[in-house]
Amino acid sequence: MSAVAVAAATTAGPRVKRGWKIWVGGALLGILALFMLVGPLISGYDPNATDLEARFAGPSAQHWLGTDDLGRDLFTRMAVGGRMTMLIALGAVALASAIAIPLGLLTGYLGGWVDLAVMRVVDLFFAIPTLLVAIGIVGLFGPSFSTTLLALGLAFWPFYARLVRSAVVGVRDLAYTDAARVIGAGPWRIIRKEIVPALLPLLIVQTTVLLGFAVLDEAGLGFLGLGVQPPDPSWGALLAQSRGFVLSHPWIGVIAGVPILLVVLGINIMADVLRDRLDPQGAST
Amino acid sequence: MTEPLLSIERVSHEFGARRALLPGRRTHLAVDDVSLSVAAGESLALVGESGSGKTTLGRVVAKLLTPTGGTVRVDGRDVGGLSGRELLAYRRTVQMIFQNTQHAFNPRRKIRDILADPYEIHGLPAPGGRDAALGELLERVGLHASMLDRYPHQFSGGQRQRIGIARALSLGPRLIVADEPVSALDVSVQAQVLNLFARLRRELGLSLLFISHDLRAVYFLCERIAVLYQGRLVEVAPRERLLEHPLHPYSRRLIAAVPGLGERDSAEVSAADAPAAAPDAGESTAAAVAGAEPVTGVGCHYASRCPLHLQLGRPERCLTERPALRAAAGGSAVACHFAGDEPPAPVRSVVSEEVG
Ligand SMILES: Nc1ncnc2c1ncn2[C@@H]1O[C@H](COP(=O)(O)OP(=O)(O)OP(=O)(O)O)[C@@H](O)[C@H]1O
Ligand SMILES: [Mg+2]
Repeated sequence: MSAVAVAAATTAGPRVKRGWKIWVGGALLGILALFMLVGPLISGYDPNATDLEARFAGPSAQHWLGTDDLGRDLFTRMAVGGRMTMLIALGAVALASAIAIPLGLLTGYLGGWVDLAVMRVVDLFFAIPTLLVAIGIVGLFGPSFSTTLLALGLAFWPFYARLVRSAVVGVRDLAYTDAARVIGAGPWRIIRKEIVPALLPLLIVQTTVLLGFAVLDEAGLGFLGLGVQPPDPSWGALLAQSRGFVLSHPWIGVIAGVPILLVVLGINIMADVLRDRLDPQGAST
Repeated sequence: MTEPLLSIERVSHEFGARRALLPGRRTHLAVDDVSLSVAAGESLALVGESGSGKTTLGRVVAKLLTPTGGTVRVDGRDVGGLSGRELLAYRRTVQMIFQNTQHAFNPRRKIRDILADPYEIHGLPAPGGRDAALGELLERVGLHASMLDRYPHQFSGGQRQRIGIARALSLGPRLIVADEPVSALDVSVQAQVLNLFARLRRELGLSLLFISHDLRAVYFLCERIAVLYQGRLVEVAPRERLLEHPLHPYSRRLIAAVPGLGERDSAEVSAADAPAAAPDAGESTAAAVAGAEPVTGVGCHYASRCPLHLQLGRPERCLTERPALRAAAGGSAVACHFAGDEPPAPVRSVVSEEVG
């Protein structure tokens, strides 16, 4: 990208149009974060405490979002489950990034047979849907919090590595990396000083996008009963649980599903905002 | 004779050679068995149409590319296997300046950081402090120390090229490979940058491998001129000799294309292939056609377009034997079986002399 265009876009960019996005996205994520962090404290319930007297209670002053089949407070369970889901999503994205970013940088920069070998492995992963890869890994280790994290992380890295690699290839052959080589910079210095700064916007935006996918896929795994196991709550686990009463008590499904929707929406809006701010050319999509 | 600073010995570079085993890969011989040398303090020009392999050869010398054949020597030493400290030492000896000033600098870094790179990498001494050294460097190329905190896009093309020169100079090189350093600049700015090169050569005794399309710039700056055609060296000669007395039919054609430089031969050349005004366009389409089938090592690769070949009645030798570079009068060397030292008006006599 040309520096002039970047400068022009950051000064004369459509700030007004972008304004609502950052507020809507920020508000969504802020409220949800608050809900997860302080929700259980203000509700005063233990997420796993059963109350057979109050089974399937609808939303009320006692139970703001009602209760489930064992009389557990859904507001509390959703908040605690949200923490779990976000931890899994963040962990999975961190794991995927830890594998994909170095690998993408290396293969993209070095090219040759290293590139060829790694990209064949990536292609292999590509032939299988992400969720299926994750299911396979869960099948291997048995469902749990850490397996879900591992499964999603391992399912995500190939896509991310490929993305980083192609971005590196785009920068690698620019004249300024040649200039750096002529001056005597080694590969490590070139990656650090010339390539990574050019990739940073892409990395930030993509990590955010991936976070949204991780939340969705945690819910997907949970829904299939392959995520966090009862009685521990996670959004995926709660979604799975709600499936049992979808006809008799459909609001439970709604309560389990809506926050997932909102978080993913919030994350995607924020990814959009970041893309506009950091990468005005839109070159990284 | 003293040892040349740079000697290029039978260097070839074939793109795609390393992947040739993979299906669907095409190889392209961009530089084909070229030998040249540059003496200390000398300036050698590399000219030739687009795609003739000038940049490739320059990048080989700057060790941005490893040639697929031949050796490059500096001070008589093969530079092929250098690594680590020795490679750094080589970087301090040979530097390169790039054509495209827009892409030669990382747009996200300030000039200060860009120019500090050589100091950091090579641990160069900066007795009066890094800042003073960088400021001085800028002033040496006609810029001002106060510009250090600007970004590359805040400079004009000519200023950026000066920064490129400053970056190369910071390492105190003895040879600079300059790949069309002025061709992307406005004409008025071109002269200034060329003058800067001339001054630096004078003051620092630099050697120059100057790659250019522009024969006027070449004439201004270089003592010797080498002409490349499709990766092969067709002629190398002292500046005046080449411009006033080109021997190779391709050199003649190249020079005739520049109004005001080659009047002497233009009549003769344009008789062979009028209009001679835009040889590049004609050549490149022809080259594209030729590119469809790999250039074989057999014969002279210019024969199919060579006016002399035509004049001589298409001698068989041009098609079967690759012409070797041979010495000719006036310090020239030419890779043509028939091109003689006399002006080719009485071409037949030249031929009988050569063949007989
Ligand atoms: N990376 C590459 N991969 C494959 N072929 C290449 C590569 N770089 C150059 N070539 C080919 O090698 C030949 C010589 O290219 P080169 O850039 O050296 O020419 P040049 O004389 O510098 O041309 P110009 O005057 O246009 O800069 C061309 O045919 C070009 O297409
Ligand atoms: Mg070139």
